Amino acid sequence: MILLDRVTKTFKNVPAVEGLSFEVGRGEVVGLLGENGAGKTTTLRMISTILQPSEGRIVVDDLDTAQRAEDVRRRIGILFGGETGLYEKLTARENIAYFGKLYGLDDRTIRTRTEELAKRFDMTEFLDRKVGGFSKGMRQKVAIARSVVHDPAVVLLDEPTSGLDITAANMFRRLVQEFQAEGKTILFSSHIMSEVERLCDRAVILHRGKLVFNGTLESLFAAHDSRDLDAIFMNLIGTGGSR
Amino acid sequence: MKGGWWIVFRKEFKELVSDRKMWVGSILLPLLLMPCLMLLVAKLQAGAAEDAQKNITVALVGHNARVEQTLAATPNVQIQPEQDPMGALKNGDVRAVVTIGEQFDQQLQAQKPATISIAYDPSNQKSDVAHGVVQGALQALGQEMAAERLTKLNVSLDAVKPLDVKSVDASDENQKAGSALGFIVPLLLVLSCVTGAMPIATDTMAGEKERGTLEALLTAPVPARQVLTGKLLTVSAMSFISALVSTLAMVGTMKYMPNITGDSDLKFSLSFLSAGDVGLILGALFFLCIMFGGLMLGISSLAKTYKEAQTYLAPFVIVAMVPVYATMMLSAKEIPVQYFWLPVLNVTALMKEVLYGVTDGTHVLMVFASSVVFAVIAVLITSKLFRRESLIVKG
Ligand SMILES: Nc1ncnc2c1ncn2[C@@H]1O[C@H](COP(=O)(O)OP(=O)(O)OP(=O)(O)O)[C@@H](O)[C@H]1O
Ligand SMILES: [Mg+2]
Repeated sequence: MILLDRVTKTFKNVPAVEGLSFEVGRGEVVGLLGENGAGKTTTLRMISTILQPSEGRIVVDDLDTAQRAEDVRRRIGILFGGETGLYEKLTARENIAYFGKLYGLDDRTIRTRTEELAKRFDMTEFLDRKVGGFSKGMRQKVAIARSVVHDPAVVLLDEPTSGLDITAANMFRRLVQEFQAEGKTILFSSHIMSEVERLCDRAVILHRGKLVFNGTLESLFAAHDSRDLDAIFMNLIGTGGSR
Repeated sequence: MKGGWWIVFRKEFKELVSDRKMWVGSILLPLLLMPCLMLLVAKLQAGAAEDAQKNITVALVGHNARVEQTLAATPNVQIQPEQDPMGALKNGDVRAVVTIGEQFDQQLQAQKPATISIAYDPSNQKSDVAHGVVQGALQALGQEMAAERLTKLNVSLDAVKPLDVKSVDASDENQKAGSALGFIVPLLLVLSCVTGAMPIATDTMAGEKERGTLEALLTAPVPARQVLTGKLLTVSAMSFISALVSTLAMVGTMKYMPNITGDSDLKFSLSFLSAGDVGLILGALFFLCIMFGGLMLGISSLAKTYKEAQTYLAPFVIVAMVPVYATMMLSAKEIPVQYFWLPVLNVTALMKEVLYGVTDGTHVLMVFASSVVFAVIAVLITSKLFRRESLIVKG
């Protein structure tokens, strides 16, 4: 469960996120939509406790991020899109094991969990190779395995499919569905409307740091009397948007 | 759960081990550079000293057979005819000019002090040495003449020599060697601390930030302080390993140096350099490494990219060299007391004392106490910087 209560984040007096409130229920998949600079990454960073909100409160599984940052982190798995942030000089296995250790797992658990994830993401053959020579798709697989090595209840994904080809992106979407089946709470940011439509129960749409829509896609379609998400999005943010 | 700092430290080291570039820069380079530079300095110094003792060219003005004979018979002295003796001295063609006074023979005859002068250039080491040699030879001649006159008068030479003053050169070979190396060794050791720490400090902070791994790392349930500790240990360890390798290279070089430099006047074997002395040097360097490690990490965390961090950290080489130059011209005994509690300077001053064999207990205490304080300050500054979120998350 994730709860944001009137959250504001300013960088040098410039607000990146302003008065943002929404909730993601346990086992729900919610899409965080918005154009470049809307505040998606900032929001996810605040939920994962890397950034402190300037104002407001964030609660993850009944834990306040400001007071229980470490416990919150233990429950969260976060994946950053685009740049996957892996250690090039280490093997895929070493990358995963490093985070396993940081999350307090013992060596045996790390080993079995790594094998399991490797099988699941079809990465057994390159598990013991150095990440330096990997393709983008391979990296993304390692990165996702690394971020869920501790089997988190909450998964945050920041534009996870950006830069991936269709096969990799599809694999990724399947994965989100599997996570959902496992009962994980998922919040993922994207600016691809079709992706959100396919995977999410609900969408939260941001524009310049402010919430402009929060509800099921059905209610969104009903309100705009259309099923064209792109058109609805443009409508919501006003055609003056930079997109 | 094991300490987060230990997990971070182990991973950093694992990465380091697989990085050949890092080992070449931090281990291999000092290992090769240290003996080469030490040998070079030793050779140059020994060569200069040896040269000054040999081929002492002297121009002679005026005539006296006995003076000429004496000078010609002095080892290494060569009388060189010159049209313009003073000009030749200025140009360095001759190292001293001996002028026999015009009244020399008459004065001798009359048993008055006969004038003879030695012109030399005190700013020129070779000329200075030549002056000493010539003066010695002429004084010996003077005593010989005095003895002859006394014999004629039936007086024993001892009767007119109430005092027998002897000068003894108290500086031993070790000290000479120590002072010769007292400049180059601190420079190389301090530099090796800097060069050992620099690449890893750049990579582990700014590099990780640039590649996005630092952000991922900070989403793990490990306090930022522990992450910083792990990284600080890695940087300081690398810095110290580099310093250790350099020190061992230095000790090794000194051990084998005498065979290489031959039997010159200056011996470069520091036989008095005991295990305790090496321990003192390493101990002082240890805290220096932590201080450098802390500062470099802090500065590296201010940079957004690897390149930027390299630019910021470059001046550290100068920071390391200035204090060495400050103590370079001083002999170990005349180092001002405040040098022993100034950063970096304290360590170079202590090394100089140790190399000269005049280690002072109070100074050692001052150096260690101040080094610990500076190390702590550096680490505190860095942890302050590291807590600022804007520095960790790239924009
Ligand atoms: N560390 C930072 N320092 C200063 N300003 C920042 C920082 N991080 C984000 N911002 C600003 O906050 C605003 C929101 O940025 P954010 O990265 O959250 O947007 P985003 O929705 O993730 O965009 P994108 O689709 O480009 O990833 C932007 O105007 C950005 O310039
Ligand atoms: Mg973003």
